[in-house]
Amino acid sequence: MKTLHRHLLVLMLLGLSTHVKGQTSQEVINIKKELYTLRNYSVAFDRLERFPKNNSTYKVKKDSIEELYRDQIYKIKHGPQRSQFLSFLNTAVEKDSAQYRAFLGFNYTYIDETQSIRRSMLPTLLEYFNVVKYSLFDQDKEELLPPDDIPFLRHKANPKPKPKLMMRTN
Amino acid sequence: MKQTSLAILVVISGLCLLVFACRKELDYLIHDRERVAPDVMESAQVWYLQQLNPDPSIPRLVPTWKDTWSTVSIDHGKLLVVPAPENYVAAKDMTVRRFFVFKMAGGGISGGRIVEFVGEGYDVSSNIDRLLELYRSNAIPDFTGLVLEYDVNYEPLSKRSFTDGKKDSRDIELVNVPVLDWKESLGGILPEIQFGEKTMSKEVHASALGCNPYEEIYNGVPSGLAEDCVITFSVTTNSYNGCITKKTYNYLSHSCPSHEGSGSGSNSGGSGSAGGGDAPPYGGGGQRSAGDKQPASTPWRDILVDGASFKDHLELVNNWFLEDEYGNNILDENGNPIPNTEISNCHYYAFGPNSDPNSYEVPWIKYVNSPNRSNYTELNLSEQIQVGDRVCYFIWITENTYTITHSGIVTEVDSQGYATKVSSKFGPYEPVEHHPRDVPASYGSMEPTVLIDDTTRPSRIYYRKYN
Repeated sequence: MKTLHRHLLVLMLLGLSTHVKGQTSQEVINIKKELYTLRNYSVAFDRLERFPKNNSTYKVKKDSIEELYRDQIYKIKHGPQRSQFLSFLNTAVEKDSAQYRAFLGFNYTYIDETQSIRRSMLPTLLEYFNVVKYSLFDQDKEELLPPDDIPFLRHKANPKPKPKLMMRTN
Repeated sequence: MKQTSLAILVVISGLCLLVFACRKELDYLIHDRERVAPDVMESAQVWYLQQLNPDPSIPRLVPTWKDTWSTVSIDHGKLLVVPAPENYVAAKDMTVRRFFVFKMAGGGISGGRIVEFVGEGYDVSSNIDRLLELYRSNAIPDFTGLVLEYDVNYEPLSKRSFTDGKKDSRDIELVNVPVLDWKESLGGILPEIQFGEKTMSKEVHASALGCNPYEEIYNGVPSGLAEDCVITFSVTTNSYNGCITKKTYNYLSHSCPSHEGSGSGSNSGGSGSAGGGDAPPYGGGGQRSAGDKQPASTPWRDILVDGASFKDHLELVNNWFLEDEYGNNILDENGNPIPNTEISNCHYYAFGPNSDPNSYEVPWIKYVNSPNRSNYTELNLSEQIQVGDRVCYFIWITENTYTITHSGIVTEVDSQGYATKVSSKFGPYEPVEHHPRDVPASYGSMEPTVLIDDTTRPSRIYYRKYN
């Protein structure tokens, strides 16, 4: 009986792992798409947050983007695919972390693109996935926390161009 | 009786001669000034000549050495003060005086600059000793106006504004605007209403997105100025919540190279010359300054006040990852974003690729963090700019560390060899044409140089490709 239980447990774990592994097909791609969409909304919303609040044109734009951003958060955190998102994120930040670490420049807050900021000073795709997991699931927030509020991302909170030492003589 | 009268006459004449002969000493005595020892004066002259830009074609502000005196500044120690030629100031409630001020140390000269005092409803000439004593302080009793500092080549270094004796945060500066440029900024027409000391308002484009359009107001510009005249304005910029709300141009004076100046009103004092004299206009700019001059307007700088506003005014042709027409990432077979290796920035656009692997991050080899200037030579301030020259913009963190914030290609110069148009990319956005000084404030100062840790550093440097 005990052996049977063990076999059943192994079968269940195998089934679960097959389910996670199964996500690496179209389902995973769809999940990633949703996460990239969230990032785009997050950047757009953060950009509009920087304008004067009393401007009516911007307020309309911001309200509209904010709605999309909040809806996307809701879809990921409270939607019917919540467990799939969580499962994907857990795998991405642990087992699959190596493949996402190489993707530089995955900021989810607005970055002034006109400055020469190195992409390596911005979050990687792995860090972005970690931010989503940390903000929405670990900390149970209804928004992506800013880098300042995330312990593992604080060092990338205020990226600046790297200064050079003067080589000129005058 | 006759002999007595004659004796009195002789005594009076003698006294007059004595007063005349000692007028300078008396002046020093009245103003509590000190005569300068010849060896110190000589040191100052040597130091001045060593600092001068050697280009003889550049008009320069010449010290009037014979009127030199020394004084003590509260925050700057013992100073040697040399008056400089003045221009007429037509604005009735404004007075301007300028001086060369050399810092004396150990029997020699350790530094020097030009200091310009602009009084607004404050008589600068009558209070000059007090101003020189306190010009480095944050409080000058009763003074309302500006203290502007330049290097000895009349290149701007710093400006400070005061109201009722206290340093304030008003955004005010002296700007020299050629009449021709001003006319062009108004669409080629100078309406009559601008002249005759009347006020003229011009509504300009909207400032940053989220800001309302603002007015430029011109006060007191005299009539009949020729196109080659240069008008000196005192410009006050009012802002609210990061938006410019008003720019007020108060006419101060003008100079015309080919005409006698028509400035009416009060002379500033000192050894003044009329509007058409040899003395460069107030506000600096009499010297050649980094290959470009102050533009009449700065539409890009006014609009692109914040990095967040760029996206609303410029087209982003290439982003970091490939996107479809809706801005969604195009993904590879694993659902990962595909880097867009065509994205490029200003440095690549102006100077081409940089083979130094530290200058870019794979796979974005066209987005270089520092321009490759190895095939270019740096132009000095006195050299005339040519079409095809490059320009780099600097922000200094300390006197020895900097970031190059922007690069561009010169596409137009004027007849005097000043760059008037540059083509550049603001970050990854499409290339645009603009005046070399008309770039976002995040790229650096509009002035040719900045003062950092008491050292002058360039805001822009022009480069020319080796032949």
